[in-house]
Amino acid sequence: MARQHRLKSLVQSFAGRIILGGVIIHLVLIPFLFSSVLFIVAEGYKEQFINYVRHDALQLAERMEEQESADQIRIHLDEAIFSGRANFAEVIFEDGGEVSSAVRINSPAKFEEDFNFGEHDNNTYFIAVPFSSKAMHAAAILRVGYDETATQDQIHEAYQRGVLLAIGYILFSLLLVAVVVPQLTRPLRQLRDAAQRIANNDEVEHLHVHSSIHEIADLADDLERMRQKLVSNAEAVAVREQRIRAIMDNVVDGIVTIDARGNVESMNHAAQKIFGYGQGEIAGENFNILLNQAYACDVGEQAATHAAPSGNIASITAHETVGRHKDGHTFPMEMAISELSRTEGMLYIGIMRDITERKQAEAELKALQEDLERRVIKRTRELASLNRELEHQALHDGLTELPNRLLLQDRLRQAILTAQRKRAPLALLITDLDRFKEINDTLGHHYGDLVLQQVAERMRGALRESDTIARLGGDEFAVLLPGILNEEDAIGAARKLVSALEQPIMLDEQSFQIGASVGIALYPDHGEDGATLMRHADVAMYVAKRSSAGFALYDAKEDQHSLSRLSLAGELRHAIEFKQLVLFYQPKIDLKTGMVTAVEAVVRWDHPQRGLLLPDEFIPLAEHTGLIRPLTFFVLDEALHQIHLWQKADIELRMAINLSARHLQDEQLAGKIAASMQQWGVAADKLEFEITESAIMANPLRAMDTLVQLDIMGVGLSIDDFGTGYSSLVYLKQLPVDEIKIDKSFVIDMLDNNEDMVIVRSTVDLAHNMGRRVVAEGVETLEVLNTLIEMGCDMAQGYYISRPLTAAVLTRWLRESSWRPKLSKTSQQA
Amino acid sequence: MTRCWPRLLLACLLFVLAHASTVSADTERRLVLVTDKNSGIIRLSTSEIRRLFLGFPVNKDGRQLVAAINQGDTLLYQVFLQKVVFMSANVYELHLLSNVVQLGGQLPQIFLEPQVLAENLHNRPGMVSFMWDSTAGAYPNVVVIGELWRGSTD
Repeated sequence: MARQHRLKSLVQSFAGRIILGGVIIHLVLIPFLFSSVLFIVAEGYKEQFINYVRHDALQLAERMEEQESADQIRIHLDEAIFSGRANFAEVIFEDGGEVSSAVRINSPAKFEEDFNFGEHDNNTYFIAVPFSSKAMHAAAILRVGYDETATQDQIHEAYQRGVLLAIGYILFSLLLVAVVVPQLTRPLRQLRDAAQRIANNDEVEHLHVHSSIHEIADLADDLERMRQKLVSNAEAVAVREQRIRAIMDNVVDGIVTIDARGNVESMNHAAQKIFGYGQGEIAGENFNILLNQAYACDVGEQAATHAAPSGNIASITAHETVGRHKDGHTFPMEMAISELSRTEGMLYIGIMRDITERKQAEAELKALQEDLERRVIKRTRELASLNRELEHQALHDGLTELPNRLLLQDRLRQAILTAQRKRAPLALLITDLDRFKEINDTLGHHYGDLVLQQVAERMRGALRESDTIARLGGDEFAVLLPGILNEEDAIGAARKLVSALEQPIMLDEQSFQIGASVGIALYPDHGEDGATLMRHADVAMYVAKRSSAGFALYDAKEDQHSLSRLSLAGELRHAIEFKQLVLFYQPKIDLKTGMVTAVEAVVRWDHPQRGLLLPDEFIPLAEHTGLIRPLTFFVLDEALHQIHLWQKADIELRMAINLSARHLQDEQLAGKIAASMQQWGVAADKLEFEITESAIMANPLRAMDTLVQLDIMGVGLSIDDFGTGYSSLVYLKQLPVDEIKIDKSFVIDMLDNNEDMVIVRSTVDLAHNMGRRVVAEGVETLEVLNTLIEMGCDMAQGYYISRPLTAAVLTRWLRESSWRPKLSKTSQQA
Repeated sequence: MTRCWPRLLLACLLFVLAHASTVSADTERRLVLVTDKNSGIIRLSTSEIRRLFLGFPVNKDGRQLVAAINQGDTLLYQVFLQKVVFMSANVYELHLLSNVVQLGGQLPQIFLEPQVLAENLHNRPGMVSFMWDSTAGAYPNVVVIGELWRGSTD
């Protein structure tokens, strides 16, 4: 068996094949060549023999012709035999005679003529030659037999030598092959051994195979290059594998490679950690060992089910399953299986991820989400409630709970649409409270709010449920009357409102009379849209304020006045800027001396078109538009300038300037006054400010601060229009004022009205008791003046003494009037 | 490699068979000298025949005779060589060539087909050749002008 294997191995080796090839070639060619050569040689021998025989037989026959007797013929025949040329010879004559040789050597008995060598199996070549015998005078035939044995021996010897030569040649050739072939194949064996070492990953530093055969040398060079390339590739592959392994071991996901039979091939670190198995611990095991038994599956089907149609691994969808740890516990797992076609069979790559934490997080998230949803629902409800509340607040007045301007506009728009459809009129009433501002300024906002609430209640009581009552702001209300038949219905409603609001309002057990003015605008007569109706009702309301009825229906003629009032604000701003305002000065006399000691600065507007306007015509507008501040500073500057001029003219007078409620709230007022006084060089005792009761009482604390600052500066302070407000004597006592001015409404009629007389007298007494100086306004007659003197009033002011005069006129009046102040000599001369 | 063996053996066998001479076993045959019946040649002596086929010029009745060698049959040719020229084939051919070169003239034409030979004999008066008597009888234009050999070929 072993021998057979070795033989087979030898036959299948390169050297064996060369030897075998040589043997086969020689076994085929050498016999062929040698047999051919021997055949030619044998044929040559035969040819030579035949040629000799034929030639010799002819010569012998020719000699027989010359012979003259039978004996001579016989002698020649014997000679032919004895000479060894022939082993048979005879002559047969035509007449039947026969002469034969006496000698026969190895001659067969029967003559059979041959025409080819060895034609007959008698080792003799028989030939017959006819000739004409002279001796016998007859035709004769010479029959000669030549021994073929010698030639046959020659041929046989030639064959023997040829065979030996062939065998020797074959043996020599085989010997040569046996010697040469190993030499020839040695580099091939070396190359084979090197290739095997390379294939076995044995370290081969360099391929050293030397051969003079250039094909083998080239092969060696090629193998060396191949080795270098393999080494290079192997290094690159090793680096790549190392990198891939590093990546595989550092990815978060577990990666398991599975062979075509579904058995685990390898696992990365993450997979080992997920499943608890060590590297190679479950190699060869079915990968279902990694899954919960209930989730066991066929890896091929998994790959086919979840593989993307395009074959793109990245787009393979993962699905959730349940994994099984080495210790037996199961856990939720996300798994994706892709397939990779290899020459050694399909490879499946399972990417697995433990999603326990994610599942927990999802559960927590779900709980949180549900909680959040509950909170959102709750919050949404709260917001809806708040929204409703906000909507209510946005559309209603917080104080009176009446609809506000916004809601009124909406309802007005709806009512107009309904009225258009029904071709029915509707009315819009705008109501403004008459004396609300005084109550608010005097008693404070709290009382003002209470008044507004009571007003709202009364309005509700006076009107229908279907009517809309809205508060537009401040003390202004609007009433929407849908479904009226005519303007009389609207007027009736206005009357009800006025009547309801004329009733006194009780606050802290005190009775207050306020009253209201109502403007009426009708749809469609006075406007077909809400804005127009609102504006026209407002115009009517201002008209109503001037009328005694308390209400007024819109009249287009009155609208012109309304428009002019609006334009007046812009003109006033322009007038202040361009000094169109003019100061008039009304003297105040000391009733004890009868001399002018002070003047009150009163502003007039020298309007280019309307002429000289009184303060009542633009001061409210200035207060309403915020122009009162620049207007007052203008007056202050002009008055101080005038004092400066009078001082230069040696006219010593104190200057009284009116301050509004707004000024008392201005923290910068004192600084501004001080700066102006310094600018014009006016001493503080030459200046005094008149403030109304209501202005002080609007914010008594703030007013107190301002008044104290002014008092510290040394300027005089006076309470103007005393008696018209609702001043608290407690506050009055604390104010740092120097004098009290009794309102002219008490003074003018005090001789005819005992109550006024009592008020004036009481005020004088009160002021004196409090250490204040008393000034009476509105002194228009001598009787009144004398009465005031009798009462002990300190000072007086009024038309009886002098109307307000311009600076120039007053200066002249001071020189000429009996009320003139005490003038210096220089002044009198001037 | 092993599949080549049968082919090689077969080739060797065919070669051997191709070179193997086969001798027909005719009995009582006659090798006769022939010419065209219109050639006018009646008889040639043994010497004239030998000289003619050895390449020597032969005139007969003022006409130059031309030899034609019939190699259509191996035995026929060997009988001719042995009975007419007394030489082996190679020697005869060398001898013939030598004589033609030395004496002028032309080499005898060689025919392998009796039909072609018979036609040539007809077309060229003076041409003399040899064939089996039985063969000569098959061609009307061929006339036997002498017997070269008679005997058994067993």
